[in-house]
Amino acid sequence: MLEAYGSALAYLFGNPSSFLLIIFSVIWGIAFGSVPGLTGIVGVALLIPFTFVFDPTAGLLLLAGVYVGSTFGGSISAILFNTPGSPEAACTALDGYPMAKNGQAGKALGIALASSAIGGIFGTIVLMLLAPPMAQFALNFGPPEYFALAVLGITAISAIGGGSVLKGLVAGLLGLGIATVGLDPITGTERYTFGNLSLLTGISFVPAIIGTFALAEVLQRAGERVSTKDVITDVSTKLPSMKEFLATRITLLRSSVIGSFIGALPGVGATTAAFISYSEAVRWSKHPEKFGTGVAEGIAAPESANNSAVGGSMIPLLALGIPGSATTAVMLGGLTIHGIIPGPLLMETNTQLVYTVFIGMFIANILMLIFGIRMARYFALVLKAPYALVGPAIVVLCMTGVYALNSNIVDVGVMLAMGAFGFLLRKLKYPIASFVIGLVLGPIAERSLRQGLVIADYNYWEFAARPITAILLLGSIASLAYGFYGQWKRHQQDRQSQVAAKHAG
Amino acid sequence: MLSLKTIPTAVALAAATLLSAPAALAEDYPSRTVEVIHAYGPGGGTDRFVRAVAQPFEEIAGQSMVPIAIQGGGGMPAYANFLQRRTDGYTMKAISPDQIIAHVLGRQDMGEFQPLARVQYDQGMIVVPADSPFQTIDEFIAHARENPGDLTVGITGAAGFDDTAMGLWNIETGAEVTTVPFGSSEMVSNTLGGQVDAMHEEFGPARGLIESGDMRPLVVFSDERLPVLPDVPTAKELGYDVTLGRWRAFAMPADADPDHVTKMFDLVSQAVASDAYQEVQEQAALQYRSVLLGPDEFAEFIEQEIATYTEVLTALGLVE
Amino acid sequence: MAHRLLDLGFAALLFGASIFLWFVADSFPESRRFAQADADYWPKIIFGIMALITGVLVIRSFLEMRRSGDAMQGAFTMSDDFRYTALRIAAMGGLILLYFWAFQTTGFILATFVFLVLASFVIPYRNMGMRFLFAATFTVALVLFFTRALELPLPRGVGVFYDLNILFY
Repeated sequence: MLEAYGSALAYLFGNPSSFLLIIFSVIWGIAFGSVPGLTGIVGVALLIPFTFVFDPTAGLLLLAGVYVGSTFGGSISAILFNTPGSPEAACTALDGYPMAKNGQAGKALGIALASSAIGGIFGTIVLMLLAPPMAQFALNFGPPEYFALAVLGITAISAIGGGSVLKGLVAGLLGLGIATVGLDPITGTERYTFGNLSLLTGISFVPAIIGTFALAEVLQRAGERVSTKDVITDVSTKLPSMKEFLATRITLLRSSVIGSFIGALPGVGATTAAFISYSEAVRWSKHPEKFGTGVAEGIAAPESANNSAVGGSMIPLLALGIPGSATTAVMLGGLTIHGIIPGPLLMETNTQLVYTVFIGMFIANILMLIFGIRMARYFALVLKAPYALVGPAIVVLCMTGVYALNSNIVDVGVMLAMGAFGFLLRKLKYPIASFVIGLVLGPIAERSLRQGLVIADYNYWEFAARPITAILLLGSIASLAYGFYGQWKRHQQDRQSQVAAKHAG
Repeated sequence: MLSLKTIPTAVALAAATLLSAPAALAEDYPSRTVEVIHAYGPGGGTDRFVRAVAQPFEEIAGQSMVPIAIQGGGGMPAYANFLQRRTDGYTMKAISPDQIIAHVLGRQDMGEFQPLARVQYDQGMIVVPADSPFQTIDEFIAHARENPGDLTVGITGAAGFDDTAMGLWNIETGAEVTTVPFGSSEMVSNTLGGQVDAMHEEFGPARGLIESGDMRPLVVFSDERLPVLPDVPTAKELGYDVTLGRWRAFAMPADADPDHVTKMFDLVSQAVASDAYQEVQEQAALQYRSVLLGPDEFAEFIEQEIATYTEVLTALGLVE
Repeated sequence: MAHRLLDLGFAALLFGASIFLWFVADSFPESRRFAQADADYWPKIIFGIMALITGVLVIRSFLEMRRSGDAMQGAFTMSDDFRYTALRIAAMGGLILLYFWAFQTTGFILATFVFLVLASFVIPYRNMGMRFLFAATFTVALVLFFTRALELPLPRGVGVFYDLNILFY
């Protein structure tokens, strides 16, 4: 293995231009990630024709760098404008934007950046050291395990949101319900399309989150009497201090582990990883009711998870030739054009390529720190512009980005509808976090439940009686109960203190 | 910034004047960019297919060809966009068995297309993991006949091409298997991990796992054995007429100018014959039965496909 | 209080919707092959639970409203502040819908420019020249970025607008 790293380093230093490529790709990735609608997938896909100019190794370096950069890039616009630039960053907006609104935009960006780099480096190290065994372990995850994992994430809804538990549950169910629109994943029949064939693939995730977050926010701010442009004042990005940083170390570690593992599961990627680790951060937190108001863990958890999922999703791609996410699926296509056949033999026959990419991703994560700070600062300058110009511009950018993503006007319509709906939910104090978690995890839960039932011949016992599934499901039930108990206890305490206050008054 | 070409305003203006003229002269055709609409993601198989043809096409025709990816909606938004555009010879659509299925299900109408050229024709296989108890397709069939529906086969997508191919298999062989729809990468991991007994997959995407010995193909759905897999029998030689394969093709609007159709087919066939395209096709392992079909043969082929798909989808209970 | 009424109304709406959607699920075409966990299996679980919970919510908000019954008197009088906010939000929402329509009809350039100018009037801002300058620059920049640098198509509109837009991209 050392020999392989030797030859990889020799390649990198033999081709100094490859460093330029990594720099370019990280910047390109951050830029793509930060524009709403333009996701990392588009960023990677658009660069594939340009990789023909280079040898396969340089080409893959370029694509991997974009993937790394775009996963972080989405969080910039999520934090500054409540506009997740990429689906992976939707979760970051939940606490990032409130923190920015509290006047700590710089701190929020700093935490996002540092967590991203740590998560990214963690994921890359896992990829370097554990790719083949991790890939083999991930193969033990069949539909029942996927289902249990999704359920585990969904049950965190009971702990989220300081307000009403019932409203939290309803918001989560709304997300789960909306996710069922479109073609049934198993039978292929139409559901809730009401004869409109354009709704066949249902409510796509990217337009849905851009609507619920960004558009709802623009509507909200349009109604504010005082211009809030002065609210977000601190836009200088600085990395969190060592003390602040150490405070989130457990969250960072937990989320990075979750992220790299979920990334390694084929078919689920960084977005799911971000939401599940956010759920876990809420579940294990001593102050779950503060999530959503701008807490550091609420940014650190999703950002470290989605970036470590980048390394994770390269695991099945390089070890087995199975893409772990939509972006790596596009990368796989790019590799094929270069005459490389992805499969278990890739790591043996193309050692130089594989190990160069490992080192490249490592460097990309470090470069991300350097350029991320700079780019976030430029972006933050927009906050100084009057909202009368910025607000409409965000609407235009969202519309254009969502349209350009699929050239599908229906997606734009979906975005607008979800914008109005998200605005209503917010006004009525239904937690958006629960709604989005339902939207992300619902399809995975339904699909894998029904796939598992087909395989188990509709025997529920056979479905659940698998070690990993059973543990995860029991854990979800326990945490659901605990979540309700916690909310109930807080409610009681609130009431008591109210009563006490009344008596005192 | 990264633009490969900036179209001078003059050309754009000329194109606009041409547009307003009732019919463009065949000699001048094509005189601007040809847009190929498809219903899949950027960077996906169809997108790469159009780009692979577009590269030599540009050298031959002197005009560029660009893919327009209109993803989602079960292909409906792409179809609607195609119908909305005017017929001027500059809009084409990349079609595949998905259009046939949409036609049979009554969502789209193949009559809206003027078949132009079928370019790629792939072949599916039944693939089992290395530790599967089934060494040959005969054992697989024997088990399935004794225990109908006991064997599970992973497929990509619900009520789509894979479903049809395996449905035809069930009808033809009587060796009934249960299909489990997955996303494409989950299908592979669930088969490798032994969650399902086998999967239906084309040779290209599966070859890495076959070469490494992690998976074994049992049968190939083609007329002849694949030269790279000489020991794998075809369904046909076992007496089952299952040769359904995924294909990729170009179509123009139904009311396209016949001169344009002739000219365009000529250009596309030159592009397909070029070394540049052939190389890309070989790298994707799609060369084994990709015979270029012209407008008339392709139309005939579509007729046969519609008949087969109607039969299978009816048997699956998806069409009345 | 107005928000209590709204709360009750929304919960009741969701309650009705989940029952309706449960019955829509019941009418989904049946699949012979997957009859035991068919297309309606999951939606029925979701909307069933939702009907239950929203039912509880409706009762609860109704009781709360009864308890603070006297507050009902103020329900329909809007404060000036509220009216101002609602007006702004409605204006922005309307403009966005208009933009959505124009996006498809007149194509990207015209729709975007006009929307940027009009929408900037919804939020208080003094610099008149800047409005137009910004709208123009931003539109041009986006057109160049999407159609030239990324080669992604933007809507061209219909009819005469199609011909007009094809001159640019």
